[in-house]
Amino acid sequence: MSMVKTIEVLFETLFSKPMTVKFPYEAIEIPEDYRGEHELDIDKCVSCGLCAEICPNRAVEMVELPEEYKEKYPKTYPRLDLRKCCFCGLCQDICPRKCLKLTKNVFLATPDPSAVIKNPMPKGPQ
Amino acid sequence: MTKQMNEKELITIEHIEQIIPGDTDYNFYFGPAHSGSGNFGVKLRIDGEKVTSARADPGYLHRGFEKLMEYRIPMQNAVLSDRVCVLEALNWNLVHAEAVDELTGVEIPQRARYIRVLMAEMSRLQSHLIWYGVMSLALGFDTGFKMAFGYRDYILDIFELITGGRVYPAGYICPGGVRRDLPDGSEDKIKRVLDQTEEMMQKMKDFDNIVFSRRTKGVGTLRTEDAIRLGATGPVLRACGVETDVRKDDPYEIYDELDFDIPVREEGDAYARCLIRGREMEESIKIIKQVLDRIPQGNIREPAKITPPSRVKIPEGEVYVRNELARGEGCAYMRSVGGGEPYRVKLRGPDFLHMIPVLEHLLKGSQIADIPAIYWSLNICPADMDR
Amino acid sequence: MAESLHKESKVIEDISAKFKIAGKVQRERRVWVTIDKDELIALCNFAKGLGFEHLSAISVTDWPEEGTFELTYHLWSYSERILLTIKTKLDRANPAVGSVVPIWKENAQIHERELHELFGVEFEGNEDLTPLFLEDWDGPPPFRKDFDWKEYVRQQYYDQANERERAYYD
Ligand code: SF4
Ligand code: SF4
Repeated sequence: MSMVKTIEVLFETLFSKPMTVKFPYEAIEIPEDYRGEHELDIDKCVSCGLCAEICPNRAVEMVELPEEYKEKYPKTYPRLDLRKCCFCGLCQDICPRKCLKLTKNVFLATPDPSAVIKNPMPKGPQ
Repeated sequence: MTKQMNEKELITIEHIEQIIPGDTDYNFYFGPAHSGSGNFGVKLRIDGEKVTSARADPGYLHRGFEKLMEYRIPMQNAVLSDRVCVLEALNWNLVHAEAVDELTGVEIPQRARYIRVLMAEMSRLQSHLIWYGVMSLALGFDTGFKMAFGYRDYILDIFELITGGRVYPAGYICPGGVRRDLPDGSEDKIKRVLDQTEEMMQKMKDFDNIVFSRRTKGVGTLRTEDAIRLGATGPVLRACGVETDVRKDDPYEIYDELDFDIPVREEGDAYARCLIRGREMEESIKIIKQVLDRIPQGNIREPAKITPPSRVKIPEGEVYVRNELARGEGCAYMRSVGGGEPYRVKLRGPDFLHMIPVLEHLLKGSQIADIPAIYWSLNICPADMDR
Repeated sequence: MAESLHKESKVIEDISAKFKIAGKVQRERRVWVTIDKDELIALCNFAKGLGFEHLSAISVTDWPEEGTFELTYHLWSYSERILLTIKTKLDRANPAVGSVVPIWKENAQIHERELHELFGVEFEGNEDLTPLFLEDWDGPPPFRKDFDWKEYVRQQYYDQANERERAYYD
């Protein structure tokens, strides 16, 4: 009896859609609120340092920017070390200006060790 | 080698005994870095096929959480509490959050209470699915393993949607409530996943007789008085005929308002433990459905904003909270002297007792071939034992 | 409220009738009593007789300023549905206490073994106190408050050349 059932299930499975998808051609959609790579909107940051204070892994450090940015951004800003980060999102939750956010980018593996240090400088040419 | 063997002669037991005279007694190491055991080892003494003594050898996964928690504020500890047991992160979040809430005495918003129970039960479901997977694997039934993990992923999709992470919710259930509200449309998605889980449970039932009962009936039988003496809790104890469930006996959150049953069986063997877990999944689904029907609107955390670490204070006091995890009783003792960090945290995981006294007791006198069945019927996870 | 805590007060009454100690009911199903170390075993025996057959956990809290260790035994009764916590204090210089293995058997054995390793408490009468988690550990019991683990880790594992580790040590 149970054998018949098993064979039945086997046949069903044979002709049904697989549970997996063909990555990278298809992917399961990542929800908006996913805790992935960080994104800092430096113009909104007020340098309160709360993100560095709450981080359980001390992955956030408040640093001064290099000379060429000093004029525009004179205070200290969070620099992130993604290798230390556990992606808990506490820094995002505590940020009073909501300028530090976790995005849904999960493709963080890299052969370049310096790529995991996220400097606070705004992207693109100055 | 005492006797020269004729090439044409068949090798018999006598020959082997001549080569190793009378020596059928040997040491056997199960684990600690073994795919069938988790990060945990058991030193066995075997005579022929029979286990004559067993000694658990924990410590491979010891991370010292109790000590680490003395140096972190509750919000950071909530993140840490995920890691106590990988497979039951949300349940441990709840244990930790409850201990802190009882110390601070904040009133948790009703909506948060419902979300907490919802997530804890979903976590129980996925934990039982993992158990079904590894149990099938241990019994040589690969299809069951793949299916269980596949269906578990649907639940993980829900976790991803709600908490932002698949396995680690990062302290989603945090002191004061929960960290995020349910996103729009998540109720429907949860209902869909429940249907899928029910589908899986139907398949579990269909496969039942072929593999499970033959390998587990009468194996690893635990008597009621032994179970209590050895400190077994949760499904292991319920499979020995003790009707007890922390959710009913010592209700926390909103469990006393919900309607669910405690499955109990008398046999005490591995098969009974399997059946109990299957029934428990049904009860969990029942609970989730009730929660979804009744969940009120409102805010989700008290206070709504995270307090900066320098201003956190836990009032002085000591509490002991008990929760029902998928594996048994999970407890936390927390002592505070009024600082930002707790003064002492003691975590008591169900597997601390299931993996050492209970396992040693059950393995003694069993056959080698039954070790995986016994081992996984206890549904053990070294993470919350070693802490 | 007083009505509903009837069960809990009954446990305290029973205990104080025999041991001349006061207890407190923290909330529903939570009872705490404190006892002198010499009477601990007698009280544990008595509690087991009252139906507290499940030893949920044993914990130690270290109070270096006071010079004491505080032991807490958390007991659960399946019939009464009450959690009884028995607290007792030990001298930190001589942390020895009678073992509760004769009462709760293997369950107690394993808890005591853990605490012996992590806090260095001696449980007299427990025959097997071999280390449980730590391997080749020769330092002081690591969970004591006066064990400076930061200093220990700095000496053992700090890789000065690695810039990234600075945040943890300075
Ligand atoms: S996500 Fe968590 S670990 Fe990562 S930087 Fe933010 S607070 Fe630190
Ligand atoms: S918490 Fe937000 S505003 Fe404050 S320093 Fe960090 S990023 Fe800037």
